[in-house]
Amino acid sequence: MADVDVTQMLRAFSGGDAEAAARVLPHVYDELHRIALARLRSERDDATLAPLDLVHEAYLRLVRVTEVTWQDRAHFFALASGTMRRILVDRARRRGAAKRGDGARPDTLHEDAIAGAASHADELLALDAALDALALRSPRQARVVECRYFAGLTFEETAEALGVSVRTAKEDWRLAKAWLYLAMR
Amino acid sequence: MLPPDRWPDVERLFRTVLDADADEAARLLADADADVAAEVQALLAAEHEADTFFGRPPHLGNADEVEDDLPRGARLGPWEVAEELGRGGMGTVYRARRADGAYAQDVAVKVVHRGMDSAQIVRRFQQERTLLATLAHEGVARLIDGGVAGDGRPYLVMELVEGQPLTAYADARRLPVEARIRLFLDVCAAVSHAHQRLVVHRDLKPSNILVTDGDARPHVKLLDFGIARLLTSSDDGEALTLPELRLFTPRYAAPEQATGAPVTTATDVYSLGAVLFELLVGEALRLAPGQTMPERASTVLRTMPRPDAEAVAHARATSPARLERMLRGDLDAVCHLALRPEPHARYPSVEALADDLRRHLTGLPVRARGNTRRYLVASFVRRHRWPVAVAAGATIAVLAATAAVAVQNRRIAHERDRAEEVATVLENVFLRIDPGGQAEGGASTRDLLDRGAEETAQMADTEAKAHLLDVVARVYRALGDHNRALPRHEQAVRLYTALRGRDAPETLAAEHHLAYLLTALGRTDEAEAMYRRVLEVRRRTGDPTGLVESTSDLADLYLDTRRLAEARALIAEGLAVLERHPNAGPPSLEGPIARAGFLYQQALIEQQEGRLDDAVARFHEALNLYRAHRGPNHIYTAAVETKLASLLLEQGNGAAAGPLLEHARSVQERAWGPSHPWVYAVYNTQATQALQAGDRDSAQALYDRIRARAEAAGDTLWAARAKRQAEQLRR
Repeated sequence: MADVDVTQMLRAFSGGDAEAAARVLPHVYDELHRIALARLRSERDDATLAPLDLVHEAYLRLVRVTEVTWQDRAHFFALASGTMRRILVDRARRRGAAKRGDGARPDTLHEDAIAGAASHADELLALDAALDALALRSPRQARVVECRYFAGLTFEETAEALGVSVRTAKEDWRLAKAWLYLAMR
Repeated sequence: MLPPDRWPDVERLFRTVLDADADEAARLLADADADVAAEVQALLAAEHEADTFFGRPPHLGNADEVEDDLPRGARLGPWEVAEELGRGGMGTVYRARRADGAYAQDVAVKVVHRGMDSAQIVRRFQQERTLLATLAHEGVARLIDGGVAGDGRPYLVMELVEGQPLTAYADARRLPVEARIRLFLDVCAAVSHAHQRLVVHRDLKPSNILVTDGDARPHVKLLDFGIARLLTSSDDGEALTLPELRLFTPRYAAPEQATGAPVTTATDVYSLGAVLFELLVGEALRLAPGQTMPERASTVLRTMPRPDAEAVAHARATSPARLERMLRGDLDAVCHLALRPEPHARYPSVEALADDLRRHLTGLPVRARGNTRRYLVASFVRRHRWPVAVAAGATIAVLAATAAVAVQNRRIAHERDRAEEVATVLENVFLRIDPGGQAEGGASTRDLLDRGAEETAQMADTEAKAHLLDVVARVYRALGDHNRALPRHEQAVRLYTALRGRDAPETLAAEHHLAYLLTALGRTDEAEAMYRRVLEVRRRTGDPTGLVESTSDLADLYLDTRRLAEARALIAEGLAVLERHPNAGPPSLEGPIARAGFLYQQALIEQQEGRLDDAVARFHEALNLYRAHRGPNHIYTAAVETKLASLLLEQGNGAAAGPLLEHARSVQERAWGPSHPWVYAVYNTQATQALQAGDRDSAQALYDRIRARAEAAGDTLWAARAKRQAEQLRR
């Protein structure tokens, strides 16, 4: 964190400075990834984690919470949502590789575990591809899905983060969900 | 499913059906295009199952596979990992050795972090390896190998350098100033070697410059050469869109890195200046992100708390007073010239910077002190460049241009006096606020400007006053304060006419500026007459720069008043001037930028004539010129994006328009603050986009936002317009 003050960058970003996001994101990624690994290590059986917890923990760690507003929080979560998507998809990709036998440590996994993990992994990879296709149609709707699904944001927070009305966010979410589901099937 | 270009139709129908009751929904679906209706019905039918899928949180993976770090003994191609050496925002560095013993020395292996390993980056890694391999200089850590790990992440194998960061090394050995400069010259030689091979470092800082003890003298080694560039470069036309890939260290980064403008060898000159500064006055200088260096190392030292100053001096084997004397003058000037915010104003090359330092060491006068007054003026500008609020960009651009004009004019004696007088006013304005030359922030740009205006009003009626009136008026106009701009423009014209005559270039320029403001105020008839008169004189004298300015601005006026034939003739005239004088045009609007401006106007004409495809092509041509010569995040680039977006909306292509608008909005708001006509223009287009997507709520909210901001800023034109649009929407 030596050279970046996340709180300050976040406020700059909320004020419309897009470069601030560029400076913050690598740190958000690192922190989220670190937290995800720590969680997985401590909960050896349970592999499903609520991303909202993760993002929230990263927020508390990186930001001087008393100095920012709830709008800033929404912006941070919106930034983190795309990052969460990448972390999950990266992991899924590795699991897919493990299943095919060309991963780094295939011998440490039981067959069952591989099969179970792989189906989740395939689901995530399919969703990732469908989201890219949706972004071609409407980048905003793809962002709504990132905010809602990958960061667990409320409609109000999503709307604030993306600069749209709550109603638009709700309609976007319904439309995007249905379309993605069809695209993945 | 339907292709992306049908999405606006799908989206619109979906939203209307959501609002409708069952009967109406059935009717809407029956009336709609069959393909679109079928997709919307499929979407509605899928909603329930989609809820089930999206109701579960995403699966993070198994605890068994958490290891991301490479353990001891892990293999990367032929290399075996020994231990972790460090990690940064981009990757982790490991000590490693060749498993088959084919290479005796330990190496440093840098593995890119997960998430930075997109296919695009991997490809660029391969391309760039070839380039980096050509760097063979004793001052550059060698690239030995590279490849892709089993999990798809690219890695680079570099010569392992076990030295100390430049500044730490110099402090630990209490190197005097002269020895520090000699060490720094070795750094310059290595950077210069790379520049000759077109490799830009982009992230020079003490921790990337390691020093080891050599037999006779210390050895300098630069790390990470070109890595920052290879991860961020888009100069092969392949745009890297991920914003997080723009990596640099704010403390040593040149302003253009923060704004996203093109990065060149001048960027490394700036970073070297920052490193030199730190090498001379120590780590006491802590900058917040985005702040730039103060211009005088000696002043920084003088105003340091006494214990700090003594520690700094002690590490340089001297006393604070003697150190300050050593820094004052030449070395201040050298740092200053390397740290100029405008890339073109810095030393033209690293070699030139090194050369000046060598001149200093041999007692020759340094070239950086060639023109003291000029640097003085520029330094006020730079000192206030970053801390000030939103409107700074506009103001500073104009003030900086003034300083440049003042310098250009100084060949003639009485004009030099004028330039100095202008400089003195600027000096008074800024120095009064900032007596120590130290404090950053405080006064806003607006305060500075108001003070400058007051100062100017009290001057005797000289050309310097006319010049400043013109500048101050233009800054007020750029900030959208037309009421303050108008009387000052008029005074400037009157004063120039009295002092220099009606057809003098200065008078013409001032009159042109006045006409420009009059168009903004809607007084087009007066403006046209003025523009015409200026244009005719300029045609007679054959002044290419003046002609480019006159034709383009008058063409704008004709475009606004829908006199397309007259506009077209002027655009042709302007483009012809540029054919003969490719670099003609007013400062900061010259050459390719002027050409882009004419293309832009041509596109507007084509748009009004209904030749939409031609217009889209022309806009893209202009946009490419702006992106190349202004940078992707420049306000003009954003303005063209807005215009292109509205045209795309006209063609029903909301999907292509959306991202352009979003980008334009962030650029404009950052440049101008929330209340500026250019910001309103983007919101206005976004409202059109929302309407086209059937989202009346968002459109309404956008119009209301424009109105509230315009009203607060006293911009009645925009306020009334937004109010009208919002009312129409409610009906």
